[in-house]
Formats: sequence, structure tokens, C-alpha cells
Amino acid sequence: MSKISSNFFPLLSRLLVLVPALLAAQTDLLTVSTQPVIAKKAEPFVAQLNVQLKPGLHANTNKPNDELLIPLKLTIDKGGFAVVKIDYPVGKNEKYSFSDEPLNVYSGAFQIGVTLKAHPGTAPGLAMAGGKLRYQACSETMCFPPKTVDFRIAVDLR
Amino acid sequence: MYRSIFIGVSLLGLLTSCGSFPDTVRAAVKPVSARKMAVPFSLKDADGKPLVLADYKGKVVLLNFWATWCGPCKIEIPWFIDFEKTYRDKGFAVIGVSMDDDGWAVVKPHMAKTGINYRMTIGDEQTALKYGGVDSLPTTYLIDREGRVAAVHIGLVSKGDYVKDIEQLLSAAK
Repeated sequence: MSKISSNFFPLLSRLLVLVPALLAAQTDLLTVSTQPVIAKKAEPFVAQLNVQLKPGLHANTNKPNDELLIPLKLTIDKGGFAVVKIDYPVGKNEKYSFSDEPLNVYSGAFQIGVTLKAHPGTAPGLAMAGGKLRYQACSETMCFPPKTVDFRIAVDLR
Repeated sequence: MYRSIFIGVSLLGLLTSCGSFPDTVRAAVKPVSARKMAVPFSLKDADGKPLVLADYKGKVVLLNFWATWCGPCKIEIPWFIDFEKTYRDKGFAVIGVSMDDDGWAVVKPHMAKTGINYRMTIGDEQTALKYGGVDSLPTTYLIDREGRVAAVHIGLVSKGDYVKDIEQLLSAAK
């Protein structure tokens, strides 16, 4: 019995430490993940952002059909890289009970491609391009205030 | 011992499985004994006049947090226009609190377009925090004649639900 408890409680205490992190991850409406990229210093390269929205939610695309809607927007602001181009995926035109016209939205998983180029002063080696993804999500019955997710892209700059 | 371990693990499972976004919540009108005072605020309305919640004591108030970018909120606006017309003379008022970052620049044109006939103000972070942070829109509070929160509706609920609650609160003894 004492052996069980001596093995179990350290495990339980570790799990309890993890709970806030697990809850935080699960309450995010949208998550972003990236893969490391190998790039040549003077050449543009493409990094992919894997974006996942919670089931039941949709987010406006970069060009929503209504001027009042808040577009999804990606920016890169850290690490010594310039944005050459951003390829937002084409959204789906979906009709909702609250809109007269279909809205152009993302749902589920989607990818955003961003073409970057290192600034001339960026040193070769491992670098981190840091950015933000701003979005505004809704369900069929409620909307959430605009949020911004920070992300990093590991770049092996050669 | 095993029982407490089982409870602990079950609780952990429950906590980690409840991470989905909130669904629409329609809270029924609370009994008077369970109501708490609505947090006071003072903001400016569309004409620049002070809009003070305390001035509404004696009236039933529908306090609606919304935004122009919120689709479900737009469904409710014609209902609220209708409620303002129907119940105004019975001691009822709608107050809209827009949570638009761009403020009056986007709200005033929307008010004109939709024919909003009730008082409007622009909410700020402080006001939202007083009302639990207003994590999703629409969020609507029904406040009784004594200034107490009688019901909270989070997300889009039916017009019939609002009518039922408003009439119940209006029929309560003054």
C-alpha cells in the first residue's frame, strides 16, 4: 500500500502541475504550429503555418465579405526576416442564420504559407522568426473578441 | 486510499475534457433572493450625454453587450428595437454596450442603418471586467427594477425567451 502511494503521488502531483497547461491549450480557440525550415541566407524561403480551429467555430478569412468583419491577419515582427509574400488559403463561402449573404470563412485545419527572406544583417545559424496571427472567431450563436496568437518558426539559415 | 486516488484521477479527466468553447447559455430568471446588484457604470451615449446605470432604478433594463462584427448580435437588434417600442411605457429600457475597438466611427453608422431606437454606449475594458469580462458576444443582462441582475443570456437565445423574462420582471410588484 505504501509502495503504491509512494509511486502514485509523485505522478499525481506532476499531473496536477500539467493541468493548467492542458486546460490553457484546450481553451484556445485557435492553435498555430510550425515546422523548422532550412534556408539560404540570400534567398526567399517558404514556411508553413498549420492552423487549427476548435470544432464548431469559424474564423473570417483575410478578405471577409463584409467590411465590418475582422480579417485574419499574419505578421512577422521578430528574428531578422522580411515578409516577401503571404499565401492565405481560399476560404469557404458559408451561409449562417445571422448573415444575409454567405461569409468567407475558415474552419477546422488550414495552412498559411509565408515567404520570408533574411535581412542582410541576420547572422547564419539557427534563427527564430517570430510572428502573430490575429483572428476573430464565431460559432453559430456567439462570437469571441479578436485574439492574437504568437508563433515562432525555427530557421536554419545557411 | 484507493477511493481518493480514483476521485483524484476522475477529477483530472473531467478537468482536461472540458476545454470546449462555451455553448449558448440561457439562464432563467433567478428568484429575488438569489439576485445580486448590477455593477454600476457611467459612460457616454451616442449624443455625448452621461449614461448612468443607477439612473434606471425603477425600470427593468436589458443590458446588451454586442459588436458590429458579431453576426449573432445582429439578429437580436430588431428584437430589442421591438422591445423598446412595446415595453418602454411599462418601465422598460434597452441599453446597448458596443465592444467595438473602433467605437462610434463604426457604431453610429450601424445604428443609423438598423434604426436602433434605444440608448447606446461604447464599452471599455473596465466596464467589461465589471460584468465578468464579457468573453463572448452577445452577452445580455436583464436587470430588475431594484437594479439587481435577474438573468444573464450568453450567446444567441430566442426572442420568446426574452419576452418571457421581460414580462415576468415587468409584472413583479413595483
